[in-house]
Amino acid sequence: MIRQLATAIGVLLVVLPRLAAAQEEIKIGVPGPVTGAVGYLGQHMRWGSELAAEEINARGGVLGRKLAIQMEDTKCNPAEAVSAAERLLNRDRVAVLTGDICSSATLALMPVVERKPVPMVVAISTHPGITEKAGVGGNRWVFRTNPTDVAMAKAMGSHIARKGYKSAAFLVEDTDYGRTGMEILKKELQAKGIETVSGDVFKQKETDFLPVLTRLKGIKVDTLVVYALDQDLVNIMKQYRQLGLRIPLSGRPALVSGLVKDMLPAFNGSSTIYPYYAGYEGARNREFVARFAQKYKEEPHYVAFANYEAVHLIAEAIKAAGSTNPDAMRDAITKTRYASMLGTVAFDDHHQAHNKVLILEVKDGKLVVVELLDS
Amino acid sequence: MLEQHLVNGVILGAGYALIAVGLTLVYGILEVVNFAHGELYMVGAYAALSLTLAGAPYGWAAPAAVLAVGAVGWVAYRCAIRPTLGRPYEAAILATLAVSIIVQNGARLIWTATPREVPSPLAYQVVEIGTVAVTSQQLLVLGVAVAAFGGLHLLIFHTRMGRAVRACAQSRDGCLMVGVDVRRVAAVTVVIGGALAGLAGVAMAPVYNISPTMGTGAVFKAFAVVIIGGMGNVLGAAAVGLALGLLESLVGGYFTLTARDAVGFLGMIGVLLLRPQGLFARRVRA
Repeated sequence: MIRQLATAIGVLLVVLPRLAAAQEEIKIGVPGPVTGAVGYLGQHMRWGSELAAEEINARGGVLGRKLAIQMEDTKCNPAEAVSAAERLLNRDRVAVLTGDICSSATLALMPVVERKPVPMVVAISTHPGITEKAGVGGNRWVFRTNPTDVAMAKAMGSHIARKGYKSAAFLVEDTDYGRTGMEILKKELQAKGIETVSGDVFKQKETDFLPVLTRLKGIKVDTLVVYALDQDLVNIMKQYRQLGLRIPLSGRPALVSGLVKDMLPAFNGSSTIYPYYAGYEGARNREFVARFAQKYKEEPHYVAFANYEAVHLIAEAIKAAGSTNPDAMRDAITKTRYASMLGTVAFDDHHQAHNKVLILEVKDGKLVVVELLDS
Repeated sequence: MLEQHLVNGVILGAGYALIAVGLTLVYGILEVVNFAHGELYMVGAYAALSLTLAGAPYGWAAPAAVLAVGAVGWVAYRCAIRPTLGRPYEAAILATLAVSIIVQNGARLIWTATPREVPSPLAYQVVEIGTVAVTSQQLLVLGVAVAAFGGLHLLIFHTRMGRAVRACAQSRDGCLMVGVDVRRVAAVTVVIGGALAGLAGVAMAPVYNISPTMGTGAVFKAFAVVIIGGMGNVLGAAAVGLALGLLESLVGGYFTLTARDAVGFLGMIGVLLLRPQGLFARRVRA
């Protein structure tokens, strides 16, 4: 009798955790900045991911299991990103990761996911090195849905030439993103006979841009090429207005940001290039923006869109794979043809997708899409 | 162009001086480096934001926010600084650093990480004098700095409390012996230092956008200013803050922004090597 009971308990001990596991959530790890200079973007990254998971769960989840988003703070810093990913993989046992925002952090995550291994879908970082290192002959676990810096800088170079500008001044942030952007775009402009008159680099979270802007007021230059994320761009634009400058911005200023919306009327003719814009006219996008704004009281930032789409893509891939086995998921992602809001996402040999990019221009105080290009 | 650079520099420097003075004042009396000083600056800006969002005009919100920051300074003193007085100096560093982390992340929870703009009627009012363009808000920063230094001077040199503060700066043991309430002086100093940081936050918030991490960058510059000016030297901090603002504007304007950022820290390293007591030693001390 006691023996039978012991056996029964033993069986239960073995079986119960497995039963529980069957209903256990599928965890998607989101390493990204919760604190630090770009914490604002990390917040949108989390919101976008969570909104996607919520939608998927409302439709019954994936393979009968719920999706859960687990975000871990990286401060957008490579060393912190690695330890955050280790925690996600070993403590939380996430099935798959999305990439970080900052390219240097995402590059540091690549060997970590390869060692584990689990797939990682990068949706925000733009450094060309991520594509070069991924796919054929390289890291088979990393995929990227968004266009690279090179693709966007080249498209911007052509746009600047079409606008008829003859000279440019650069003002870029001191990161891989800003410096690589300046390097590539300078070459593009040089090849088109456009002169670069100055190149200023600022550290993220800088607040005082008056020295550069005052200097630009004194010289004649056709465009100010800016690589700046939202919070820095706000200060640049405020001080630009204070000095009454009239030089159109180009490059990759975050004109798409909700933070600068009210200042746009002073920036007619300025342009930027982004893989997404909340004001993009498309039925699915309008629906997404409305749902997002209702829940979080802000318009979705580009990074929210990027991770929203990445989580949907991952969910589809898990469904196609039929399990969260890493190899099966990787193969499913390789073959994916995800219908995103802007176009189809499919990966090439280097696991790089070629979704659309938008060139946006301020006209009559409003940001409008002037070109929709393939990347 | 030179005039614009000079004006930019004076206004930037007034901001630096305002933040640095509170930091150096607290060090002069308590010999505690308050790592949460930048967070008091941030809380000042957010207090102004919350009050203006609640409907108060900027003119009312600003002084109320400064008082609120003074109160936060007092809480920080009771919780973190007073318990560590008389302990090894690391204790105060760790305690104030903890306050800094708690306040910064608390702000992120309350106000989210989204950069915000404090509405002020002066922020977009551009005043043009010849070829120089400034906003009224920038002029306000300058005015506030001048008024704050004037007020501080009166307080320290023409009041009873000020005499006690100066005495404590000279010798804490001496004060204890003749019956000066050193703890009260310390509390008042921390509250004044905090209110000065809050004042800087309130005045500068409409000029730049605000975020929970805005204090970190500001306090780093203030450290450089305090070290160059002589730790604990109020006059030194004010003068060096102003000079640094001017120098940065000129270097950033005539060379590059990258070179600009090096100015303060090169100055700090130079001073530490050549004149570790600070440029303004033979101290007037407070």
